[in-house]
Amino acid sequence: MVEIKEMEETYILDNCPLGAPFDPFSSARGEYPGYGERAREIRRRFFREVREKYGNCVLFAWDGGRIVGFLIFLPKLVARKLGLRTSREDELIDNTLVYVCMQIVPQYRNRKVGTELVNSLIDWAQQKGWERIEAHHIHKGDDAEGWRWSWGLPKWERIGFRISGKYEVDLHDRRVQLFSVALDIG
Amino acid sequence: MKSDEAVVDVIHSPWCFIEAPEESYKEKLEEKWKIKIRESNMWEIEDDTLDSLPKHISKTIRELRDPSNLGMAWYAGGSIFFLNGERLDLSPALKWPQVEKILEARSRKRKP
Repeated sequence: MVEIKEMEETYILDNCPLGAPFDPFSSARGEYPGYGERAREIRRRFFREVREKYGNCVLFAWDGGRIVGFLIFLPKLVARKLGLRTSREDELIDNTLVYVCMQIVPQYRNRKVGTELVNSLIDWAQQKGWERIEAHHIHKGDDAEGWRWSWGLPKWERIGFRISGKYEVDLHDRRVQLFSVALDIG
Repeated sequence: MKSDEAVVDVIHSPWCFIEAPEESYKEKLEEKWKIKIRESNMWEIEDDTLDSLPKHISKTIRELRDPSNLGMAWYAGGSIFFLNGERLDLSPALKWPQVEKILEARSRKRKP
């Protein structure tokens, strides 16, 4: 059974992308030297610092002892410092979380794991006094084709997010229509 | 830095897909391609220290942090590469092998 848990000190996220169920306490890791222990250490340091300062920034979906999905979210100020897309307005900037990405290993998709992760994010944000969650780079596509480290627009709307922006970007020589969505939870 | 060395600057955004090479791999790349690799981590760079960085790096970080800059906003993490101050246009696949190809082509061109 899949269980959603906050990131704890025992395992700070350092493994991305998540291609298959992953036991964080096993030593089996990839071999690519551009993406090895040093990269993982930089990532761990970042997530640890954000967790210590803001309470948390990662939710994990566990099945037994293995991670089968995760959702990363960041305070808007942190997201902006990293160059992630955020809404332009600074209203509620200190009280807004930015959904960053969600990964679920292929065999666990279409089993409501994403819904549980996003609902857990909303619950966590409410409990900690955050007032808004925003998400960007949302594709219009239906649920199935919308999977690009995120959902397509229909799922966000179904869970209560409203469209807060609409824009186009060039992506691999294609002009793509994307959306921003937001949920007020104050 | 030696005068004939090229400089590869890498800006990491630490939440995802960063390609921070292992030290031994980095040394190997530097020696093989006669380059100097300089890395910066966006999380560790405060706005008030941007002016102390090479101009192409500070400009890129400023643009990334500007929420009204839609052109840059698609960038969502990972590592951005420059060769002698010019941003490299790389695909989303692993970056160092792509950089090596560019360096290889560059070195072929320089050979008499």
